[in-house]
Amino acid sequence: MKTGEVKILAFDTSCDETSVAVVQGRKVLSKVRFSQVNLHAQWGGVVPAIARRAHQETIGTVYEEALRKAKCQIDEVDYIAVTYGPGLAIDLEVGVEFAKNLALRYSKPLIPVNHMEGHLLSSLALNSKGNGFISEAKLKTIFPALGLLVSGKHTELIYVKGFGEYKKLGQTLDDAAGEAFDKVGRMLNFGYPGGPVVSEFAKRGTLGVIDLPIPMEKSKDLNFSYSGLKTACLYKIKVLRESRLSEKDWVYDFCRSFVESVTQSLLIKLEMALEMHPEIKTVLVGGGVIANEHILRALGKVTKLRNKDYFYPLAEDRGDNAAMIGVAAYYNFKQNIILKSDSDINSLERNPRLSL
Amino acid sequence: MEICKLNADNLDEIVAKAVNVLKNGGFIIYPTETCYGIGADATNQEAVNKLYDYKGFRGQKPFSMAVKDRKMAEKYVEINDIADNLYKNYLPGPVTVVSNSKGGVAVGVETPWKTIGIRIPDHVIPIAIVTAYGKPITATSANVSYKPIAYSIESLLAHTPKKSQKYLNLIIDAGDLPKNVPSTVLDTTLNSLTVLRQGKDEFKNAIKKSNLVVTKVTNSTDETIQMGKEVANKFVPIHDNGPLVFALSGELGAGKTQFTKGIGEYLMVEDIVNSPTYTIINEYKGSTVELAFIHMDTWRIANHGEFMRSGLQQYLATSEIVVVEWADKYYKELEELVSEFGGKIVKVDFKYLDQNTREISVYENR
Repeated sequence: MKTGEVKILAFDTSCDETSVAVVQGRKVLSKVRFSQVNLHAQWGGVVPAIARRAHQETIGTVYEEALRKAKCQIDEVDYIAVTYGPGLAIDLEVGVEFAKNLALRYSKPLIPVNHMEGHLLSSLALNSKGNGFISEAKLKTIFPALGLLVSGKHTELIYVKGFGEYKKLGQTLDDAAGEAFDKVGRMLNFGYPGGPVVSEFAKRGTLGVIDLPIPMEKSKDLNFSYSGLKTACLYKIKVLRESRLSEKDWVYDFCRSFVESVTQSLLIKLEMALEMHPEIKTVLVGGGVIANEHILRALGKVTKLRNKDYFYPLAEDRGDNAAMIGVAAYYNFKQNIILKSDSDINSLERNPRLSL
Repeated sequence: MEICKLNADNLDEIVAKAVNVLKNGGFIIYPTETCYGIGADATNQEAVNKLYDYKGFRGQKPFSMAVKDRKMAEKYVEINDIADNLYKNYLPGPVTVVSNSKGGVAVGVETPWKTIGIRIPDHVIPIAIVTAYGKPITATSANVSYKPIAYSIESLLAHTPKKSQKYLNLIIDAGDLPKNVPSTVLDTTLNSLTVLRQGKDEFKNAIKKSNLVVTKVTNSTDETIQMGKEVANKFVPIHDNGPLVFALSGELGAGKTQFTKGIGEYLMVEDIVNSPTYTIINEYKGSTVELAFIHMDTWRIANHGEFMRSGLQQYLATSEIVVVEWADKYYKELEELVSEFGGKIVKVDFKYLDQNTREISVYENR
């Protein structure tokens, strides 16, 4: 990427962890989450990852670390970007206020970003060396695209006509897929967050030993639902615990079946959406649940079978992070969605129910 | 370097050799249910330092250790509730449980954060060796860093540089192992156990002091939604002062969110009312009343401070209609806040009867 691209400093406090990133164009120069500031080395592949909600106390430290890692001064930043929704009002406020103050103090324009647009465009991010899955040439031909966002908070299908032109095709009616992972983890006494443990244990299991329903298998729309699966799991676990089997005799197979049920529910709706909208050229996936390689690959296989392109974020960009907020901000910048005057900047308010 | 092929008769002999090597600060290669591991005395600092040399570049990444049973583990670590479940249900087995250290092991086995990762291998060899030796041994995979995981001795030696091979004193060859993935590392010290905090007694006492308004067995999610609608119809029209709070209590999957959907339907909320577990608070605009409809879930709220900082107070101050799931976790706090703003609490208790049936009871203050 040419060096003339704009530099954007991006904040995200919509989730449990404070996250700040510096991007240049869609190239991510640095990205820092609070837990990375204090904890250096770690056990390899440990689950669960630590997270906590204390944005007010951590945002200053994370901001400084992000600039330091990007070898960049605040003066060299062209734009400030911030997530203004969706999320918990009180969490969003911390990021929005911090970004507003910074923009006003250093006379930088402010770019408001929808967190979900961040997930949607997360596969466009390039690493600090400028490498990624989607080339500049390819980028010109990816639309119309279908976005599938799967996280702890959201399970959504988005029709993407172009940058900034989104239409929600379906969403969860109750629990999100990632939430179902954590709640099943809790039922199995894995503590919280137990979802990553369920994912790991599933790798040891065999498919077809334990029978679980596939959510919304017969529904005619593009919505998702995971509360029925959650209840079915609760019941199945109860039955298994009352049997003579020891927990480790069934838990791996159980986790495997659970992952399969979630995978199938996503596949069914993905295929349905592609059938309903044959003009779609590309599938873009994002969100923390995509970190499950089994799900990531299954979605890719179905997409490729239909001769569509399939793009997904780098492993480190699949969960919530400010890098994707920076990338989304870059495309907002290109569409001139920028708050320039002091009064416009001051008028930005968090929007907890913001939607695509 | 001695390679001993394991057969039906030489277990005792091999164990004796292994103990001797460990005593002298040496390394053994041993089979486990996942892959070949490398063992050094986990309490011997010099041996553990040497293990870093053998492995090659791995930064500060710690080594887990193998013990013979839970009793031996308890000498070295504190076992909390989550770890207790893992020991009871999954060990011995391919799971490494990280707990807070009590000390007594080498740096590198104990991490800079004073934790230790413990394995109880589901394999006769390491258990026999640790039992005979009486001390934990390292339980890291036998391959040097960035080389393939070793499922056979031939493959191990083919991928281990000569300068690392010279560290190996005894290799216990059990042939080709089934290609199981390495153990899953579960860190129980990062678990926010407070998430599981229960304030059930306060909620139960509050129910005892209340009048039962209605109790009903629902046989489907649709019936649970319908009941939420009916309960809203009972309380919303006659409510005049302050916030109206529905405090919901019930286990996972008991129907709390479905019931809330019913309240949302009554208020003619146009958005889909879905779970606020991750967002903590969802805010909706109803069509029937001027008020906003607030849907909160305390499942992920870890402590009193987080509850007080959640933003709930702002909504109570502006007298909205509020549903709180897992209200029993912070019932005392909730009751105080609601009374401060002159509102009313309706308590809803969910009992799981069967896969599809729930008993839902609604209480109001006398």
